[in-house]
Amino acid sequence: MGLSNSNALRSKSEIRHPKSDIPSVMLKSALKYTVLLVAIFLWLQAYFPAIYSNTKLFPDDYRFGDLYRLSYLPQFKERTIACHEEGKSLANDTSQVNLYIIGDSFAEEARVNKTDFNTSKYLYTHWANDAYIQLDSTKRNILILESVERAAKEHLSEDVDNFSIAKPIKNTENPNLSFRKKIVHGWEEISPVLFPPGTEERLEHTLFNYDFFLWFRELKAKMNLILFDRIEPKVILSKDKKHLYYMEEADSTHGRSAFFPVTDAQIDTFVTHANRSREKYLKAGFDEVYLSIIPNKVSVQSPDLGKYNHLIERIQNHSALEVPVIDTYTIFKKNPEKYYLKSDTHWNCAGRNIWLDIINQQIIVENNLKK
Amino acid sequence: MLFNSIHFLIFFIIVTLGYWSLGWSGRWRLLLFASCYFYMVFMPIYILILFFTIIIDYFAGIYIEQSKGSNRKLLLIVSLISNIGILAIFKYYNFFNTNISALLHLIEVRNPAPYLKILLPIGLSFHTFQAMSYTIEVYRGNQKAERHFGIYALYVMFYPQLVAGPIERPQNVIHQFYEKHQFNWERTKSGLMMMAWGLFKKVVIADRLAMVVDSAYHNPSEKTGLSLLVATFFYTFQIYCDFSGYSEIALGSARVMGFELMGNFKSPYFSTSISEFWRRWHISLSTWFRDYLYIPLGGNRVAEWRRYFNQFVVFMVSGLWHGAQWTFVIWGSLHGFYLIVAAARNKYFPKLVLPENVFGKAINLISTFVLVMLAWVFFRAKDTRDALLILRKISFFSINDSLESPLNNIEMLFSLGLIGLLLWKELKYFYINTESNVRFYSLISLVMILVYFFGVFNTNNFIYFQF
Repeated sequence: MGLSNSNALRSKSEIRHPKSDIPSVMLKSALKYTVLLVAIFLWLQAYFPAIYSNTKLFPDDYRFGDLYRLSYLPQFKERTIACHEEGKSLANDTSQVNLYIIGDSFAEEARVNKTDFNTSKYLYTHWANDAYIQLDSTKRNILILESVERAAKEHLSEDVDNFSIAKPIKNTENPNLSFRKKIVHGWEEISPVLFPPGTEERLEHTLFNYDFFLWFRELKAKMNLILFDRIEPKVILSKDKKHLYYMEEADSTHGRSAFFPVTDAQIDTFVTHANRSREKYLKAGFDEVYLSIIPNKVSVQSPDLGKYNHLIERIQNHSALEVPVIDTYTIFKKNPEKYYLKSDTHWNCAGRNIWLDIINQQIIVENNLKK
Repeated sequence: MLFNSIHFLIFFIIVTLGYWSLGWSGRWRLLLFASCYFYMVFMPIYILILFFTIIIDYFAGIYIEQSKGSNRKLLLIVSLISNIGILAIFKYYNFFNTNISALLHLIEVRNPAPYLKILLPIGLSFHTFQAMSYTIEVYRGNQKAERHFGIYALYVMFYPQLVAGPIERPQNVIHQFYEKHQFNWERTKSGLMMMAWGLFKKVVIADRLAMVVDSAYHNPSEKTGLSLLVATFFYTFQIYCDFSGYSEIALGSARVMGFELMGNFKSPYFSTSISEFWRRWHISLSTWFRDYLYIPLGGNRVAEWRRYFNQFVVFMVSGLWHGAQWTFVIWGSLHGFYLIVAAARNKYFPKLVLPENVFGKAINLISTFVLVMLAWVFFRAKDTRDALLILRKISFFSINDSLESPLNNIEMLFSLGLIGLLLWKELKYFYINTESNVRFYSLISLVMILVYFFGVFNTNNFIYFQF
């Protein structure tokens, strides 16, 4: 009985997988599970931003510049280099100046950091974030409000409020909240954790960001440009096709653009908010507050691409402006080709150094003397 | 989750390979979980609305089956009201409220009902209609009430057709969830090829044409008649490629797992009459309205005037189903009007009916296409004022008008070539044969290369997602 059962079993398995097919079936099965595991891994690392940022398997998205990343035009491919000199640091504990910056990507850690300033303390906070700070009254506390031109309108449309000098108020939950509001509030908190935004973008960069794939992307971008005279909509070419700009700063229909009209009344409002912000932070204990509007690349290199609104000049030269400014616009305009990266919206090392020199050699030196 | 995203590509690989690695109970659980995830990627909180209707309809189905007499009807009504109620709140409340406010404003009375700041859950009209078809079929005795809650939930939520159809019938789908499908390579190839062609239609044709359409319809007052005419012509194919492309990806992804969903399109622009067009366009919706609205209203077995009235009502409701805007109501009503005029012509002016020869068919085909195309103006325009402006400008267009387009001449010709390719494939009923493995691998690689190099990946969303 046992023998006949095992025979039956064997014959069954032989019917399903004849001997010659067994390696093929195993191979297919192995292939299936390998693909499944790879797909699960790809999904996991893209789905959870923490895994994505900690997995150093993938090349940096921005290694050839943010404009290249948006356009993949090979003529604008240029590897970005760090401007920091290895081992060189200006940070100085004996300096009488503490420097605080509320700024954007121009002043972010990868471009500018503590070692670039001759100060004893340095703190950078992005416009999107808030920070609680304690000022050291034995030092000169300097605050710089840094904004790229395309975002300046938003930043100056209200009083700056990113730094809180007083003790932070604990965000205690109101026990009188209705059950429905508690649910909604709880969901709003948990939702971005459960469904983090940006999965698609992370997957795209994970899969297609290797140099090998960039070749295909460049081919497509080149083909679209040559054949259809079309580039990716997030970028705009200059008239001579030698410069590439970010759409937000160069498309005249976009509210942030250098070519979007700005009324005098709006300029008055920006100046009022800048003054009020300065007054507020001076009262809070800062010794100086400076305004630094970094010009858009297009405003310096191709102001003829539309009707330039001269935002920076109109704010900086406004008769009511009480905030001292760090004026890079005037310097950059004298040599438009010198201060920006070819494949990026940001400044190059020369542009960055101009800005740092003004801060280190004028502002910090002056304030050190004042103390 | 969008079908034309890398996220979907990874999702599809995981779900499909996972599906073929599991037994029956694992499969339906995986599909249900995956479908929830697929939906929640758009707007997680709205899954609760889906679950609400699923629970109501699940129990309604069982109680309808168990009840007799007036109770059955009562339970059906409760189920329908809960489904339609959700649609009414999320989709139509603000529309009707705004219109009531406007009417009350005429007699200087303030409408006390507030405007609700709510977003329309994606694909709500689709899964509500699919859920309603279940309880109606159970009520009619054509479908046994589903006792397995997971399977019923999967019937409503099955990811390929969750957000934009096809609107399935329970008789066609539920039994398929019980079958333990065996992997079939031929079916897989056919499904994958269908998906690839659907993706081609969406990203190569529809999204390219969309650039011209969006530019013209964004500000029609600044565009010439010729530009608007070309944009409307392009929109006629954009919406077809967008929606039929979606349907093909849906059908293909279901087929790869062994499921067969109903086809939604049969070369609609080769119709020689409006009634034929509606037998070929969005078939799952038009048959839904036929089965659950037109026939219950009396169908063809009523007086002539009543039949015309019923047809008009059905098409008007169909327009409203698409969106809570007067433009959609007018679009639906216009189709109803076309049908009534055609029926009246056939009856009272038979001499006006063209002969069934090549010439007659060609005239009918072109005139049907033009009527459908002009109706799309209302479907696409921001509001009725824009739609009327566009129609006025189109009717006075001149060949000497400048053609304003974001595409250069080469790309305009390329777009026309793509439309030609589409029509040729449909005219010849060209079926991409995938029996030979070599041919399959070559063709799918070719299609994917074309999708990559000629695809436009900026516009993303499918038009029918908004409904």
